[in-house]
Amino acid sequence: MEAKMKKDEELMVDIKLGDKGAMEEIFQRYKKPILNYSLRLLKNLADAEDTAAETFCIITAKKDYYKPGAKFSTWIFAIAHNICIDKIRKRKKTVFMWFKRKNEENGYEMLDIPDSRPTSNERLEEEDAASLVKGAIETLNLELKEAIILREYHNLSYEEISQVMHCSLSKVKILIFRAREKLKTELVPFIKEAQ
Amino acid sequence: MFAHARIKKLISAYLDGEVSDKEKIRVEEHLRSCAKCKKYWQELQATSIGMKEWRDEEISPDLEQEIRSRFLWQKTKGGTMKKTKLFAGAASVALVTLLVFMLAGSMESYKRNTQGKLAAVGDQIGDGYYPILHTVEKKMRGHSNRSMNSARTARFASTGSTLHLFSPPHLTSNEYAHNEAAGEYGASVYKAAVGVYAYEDGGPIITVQPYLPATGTEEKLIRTADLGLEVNDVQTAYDKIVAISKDNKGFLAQANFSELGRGKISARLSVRIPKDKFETTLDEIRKLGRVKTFNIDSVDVSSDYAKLVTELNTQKIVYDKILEKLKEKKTDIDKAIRLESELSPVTKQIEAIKAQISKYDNLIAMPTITVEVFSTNWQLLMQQNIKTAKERLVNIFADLINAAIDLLPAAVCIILLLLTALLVVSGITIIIKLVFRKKSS
Repeated sequence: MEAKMKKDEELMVDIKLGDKGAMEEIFQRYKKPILNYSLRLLKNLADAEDTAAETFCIITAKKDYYKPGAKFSTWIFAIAHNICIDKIRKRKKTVFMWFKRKNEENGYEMLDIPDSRPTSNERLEEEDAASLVKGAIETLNLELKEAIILREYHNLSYEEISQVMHCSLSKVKILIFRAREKLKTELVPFIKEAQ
Repeated sequence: MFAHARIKKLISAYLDGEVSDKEKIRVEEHLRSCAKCKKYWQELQATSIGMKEWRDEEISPDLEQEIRSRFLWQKTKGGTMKKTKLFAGAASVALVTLLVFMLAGSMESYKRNTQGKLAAVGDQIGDGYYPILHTVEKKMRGHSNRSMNSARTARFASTGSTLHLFSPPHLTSNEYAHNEAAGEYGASVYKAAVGVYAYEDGGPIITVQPYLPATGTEEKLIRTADLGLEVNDVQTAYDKIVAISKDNKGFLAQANFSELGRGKISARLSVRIPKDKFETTLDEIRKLGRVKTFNIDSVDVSSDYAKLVTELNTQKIVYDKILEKLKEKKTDIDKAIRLESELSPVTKQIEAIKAQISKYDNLIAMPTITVEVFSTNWQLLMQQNIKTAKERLVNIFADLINAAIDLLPAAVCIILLLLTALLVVSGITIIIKLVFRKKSS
């Protein structure tokens, strides 16, 4: 009970001191956000699972690099961000994962690796709405996508997003604004239709 | 009046509560007067709500298990965590064995050894603690000074039942002071651990009360400060911070220096300062430049610290007991060997706890100040901006040419169509003129 009341930063101090209970608590708090952040960014469950596993391993291995007082959520998302970016770069290098397909914006588009595993949201209507949102988010480039995901799904402040993405605060503002503009264009007709 | 484009950017930030008070008022005023922007704001809100349709996925149990096994059993300094668990298991087995052994052991000889302690503990604690003590401790006299120390963490009582866990009552200030005086480790932090020794016909049983009321007078705080300073010269500021930390009997714990690009040079330093000099050092550092970010944080580790101290004392009691048993004349060689092997994990446990306590002490006594100093090289920044602008212009030009190339076939078609239309119209005109001429002639 006591551990639940503790802040993430306090738990991290305990982890530094070798407290396994604190590790478990951190894991319980962040397993779902990290998996879903990676999944939304990488579009592939297997890669997202790998990222989540690596993130938690890095936290344990590099716990001494965590500076007391620094915001833990920013730190863990920054680690996950680095792993995701690394995975995307590796994908780019892997030629067979690409195919030439005409796209109205860039000319080429990355091949989505379809995931055969069923998702937890099985209901049809939910799937429809979710796939609309997924489709709209997919039209964004990586930076826009990441900024809006961190804001909308993980409630990170602009300052925290700038730290996770290693960019300036003003850039975050612009990224989120642009992402919303695009998503609005994609989604608002359907929202109106639904209403 | 704001331009609509500017207000749109602000509306997005306004939606996230990331605007200043001044901007907030401006946006709200504008939204009241401009229906178009209000509609835009409502659409953004709807988009934001709509996005939530993409629900979170649950983590699969297999993955959870895999991560947990990798995450929780990572290698730690001085061995693997698996080893630590093994050690903890061995210690628990040793403890249980010890309890069984003591239960089955010679009641009479042990009683003689322990009675002295019981009496002294009774005297130490005072009669007000547990009524149950009255029945026992008055009969018992004489004990070593060492057990005086453990008295504050242990109560000895003789009752008919097997196990007794007493909830410690709230200590009065005098009682607390009394306990404080008897303390051996970190007296100011002691929260009065309670271990209970009860007797049965077979022998004594050690039980431990793990949770304690927080009665400490001094909070154990791990303090940290983060400071972002904009300076004219990073190197000078860096040297000054190091000098300030030395003057205040602190030291430089970590430092890195980096050129971030876009004309920014930055240095990040972590200095450890004695806690009594924390505020003064912070003030001195703040004066070195323009403060951009400032954050002081305190993590209260009092309860964890007290738990560690309690655990330490409990282990020490167990250690004393085993040692006592070893010293007994009646103990045969087999028993002695067994006891000896039980002593080693307890010693290791004591050392581990002491190490953890000293880590805490270190973090508490020497708070960390992390300073990020940075400066901007405007000349370099301008050069880079010009370079970026040039690149963008080239890209725009290339896009325009591409667009023109894409549009060329369509343009040719249109021109051909126009020409054809022109030819048709001229032909018709000529025919009409000829017809009219013939008629008039």
